[in-house]
Amino acid sequence: MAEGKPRMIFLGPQHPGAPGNVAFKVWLKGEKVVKAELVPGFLHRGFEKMMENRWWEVDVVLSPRYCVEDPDNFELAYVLAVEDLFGVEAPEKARIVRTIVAEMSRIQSHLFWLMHMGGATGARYIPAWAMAAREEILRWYDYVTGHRIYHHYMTPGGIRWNVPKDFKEVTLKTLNRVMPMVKDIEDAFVNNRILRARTEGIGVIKGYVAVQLNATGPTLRAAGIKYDVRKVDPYEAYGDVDFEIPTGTEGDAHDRIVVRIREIYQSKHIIEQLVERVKPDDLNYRVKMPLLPPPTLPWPAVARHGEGMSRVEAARGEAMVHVVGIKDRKPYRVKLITPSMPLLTTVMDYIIEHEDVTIADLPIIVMSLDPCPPDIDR
Amino acid sequence: MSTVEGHAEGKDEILELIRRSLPPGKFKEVVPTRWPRRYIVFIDAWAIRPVMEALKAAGFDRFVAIEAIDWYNIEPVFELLYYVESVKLGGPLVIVRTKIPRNNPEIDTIRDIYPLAHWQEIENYEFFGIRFRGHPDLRLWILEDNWEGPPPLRKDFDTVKYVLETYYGGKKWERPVKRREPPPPRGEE
Repeated sequence: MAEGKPRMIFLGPQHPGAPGNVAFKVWLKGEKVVKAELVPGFLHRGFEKMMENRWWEVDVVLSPRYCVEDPDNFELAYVLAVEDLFGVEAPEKARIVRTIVAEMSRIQSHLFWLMHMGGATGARYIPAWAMAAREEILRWYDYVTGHRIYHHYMTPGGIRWNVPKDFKEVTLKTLNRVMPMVKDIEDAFVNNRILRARTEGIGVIKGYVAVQLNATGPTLRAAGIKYDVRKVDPYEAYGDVDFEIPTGTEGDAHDRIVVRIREIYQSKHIIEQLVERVKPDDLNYRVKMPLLPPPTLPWPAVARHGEGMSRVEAARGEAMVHVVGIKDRKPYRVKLITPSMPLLTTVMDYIIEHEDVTIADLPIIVMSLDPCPPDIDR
Repeated sequence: MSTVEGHAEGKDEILELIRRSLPPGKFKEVVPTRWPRRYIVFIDAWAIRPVMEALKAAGFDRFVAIEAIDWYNIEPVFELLYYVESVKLGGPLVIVRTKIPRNNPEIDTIRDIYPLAHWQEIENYEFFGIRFRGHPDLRLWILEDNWEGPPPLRKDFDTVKYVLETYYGGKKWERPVKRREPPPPRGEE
């Protein structure tokens, strides 16, 4: 089998080793992966075009739907871009609550990813534990926003409605229920001898190479580079909270697991600081938005007016939204810049080129990069 | 690696760095924006390769994306926005903006300068029909096997109408429903 021409097999999108709605054409020589080519497009819905046909505030409903796992960070990106275009600044309370909601989204995204990672490595207990912990956060979302998966709680100008009276107590209670489960997962999974043997030295992206491959998010930080948009370009309430950027040293799959687990603890730390500052009685949580954006000025002044831009650190890396308005109720152009594309193209190609990847390692490498394939398709 | 926690560089230093490192005569203007630490470089389309090479040499090492805007009614051009940011310098972002004619949308590829540009160029080819000179693999990628029409994100193309006519038989709410025959009763075969 190992001799002769490589054999192509199609991996995904229903394969349990595929990270979601995405497939790979994998060329194999015996057990060794020679080349893997991404086949996206299973979940392409044309969000950028759809958003051009709907009102500014209606597009909030579309804005998180290209990533189930981490909706609020993408929603926040769109909302910030629209506020930037309209020249509106949200009240402080809304900014704090939106930061808490976004950090909860990061925790639940990492827990959802732990389910995938446990599945890929064959640790069957981890998916159940991770989903149980995520369920607590979904209940918290249900309580605060009225929805479990897509929340649409943020809106240009603030938050859609006020937080409940016992927001602080319920939030802390939720964290107190989630964190012991995360600790359990950490003890049983991250330091597990079998997991270490399975993930250490696999899928290595170390040092500056990660930047050259245009990777972002935890993949970049596990490579040892301290880069986080929340620190380098603070938005919302991140400027005045204290948190660290966890980084790895080896840049392998195990380091990426460790970095994400430590990010969960940092998110908890951020929420604990911010939740003290939320006052449920304060009714200044939303400002009224004008109906029309300011007019677009001719090129090159267009760069400064008539456009809005935002840059956030989503759970998978840096996300940007760029909106262009021409004094209309609808956007002229919405560009959603999402973090997953480099992970499955340049980074995967690099790993397969520089390592002896077998077909058994491929799901582990793909999962440890934690892509969200719908955000490639959009 | 250098840490990027502090904001060591002032705004003007990075602006000066960009102005200094870009090849003279190949760009029109470098402007600061109302967003802190984000800059815009206006160039002509023919200068995209030297400008991107100079930016990469100046430390703008992470390529983010290519965006195309179809200024259909306002001006018959596609505007291209190349986003690059610098991890080395601690997070400043540069947007390189250029325009190409709408009836002949062509620009040089930069896929050998930044590896991610390879895939971003394919994406812009399939959604806007922009041809990148020197790119060996322009094809339908995200839309593969699912699309036969013109590039869907262009402004003169009504995607909704096309999809209804092509895939739904011209009907919006009354999709032709195939009625299934009821299964044969058990125990007859």
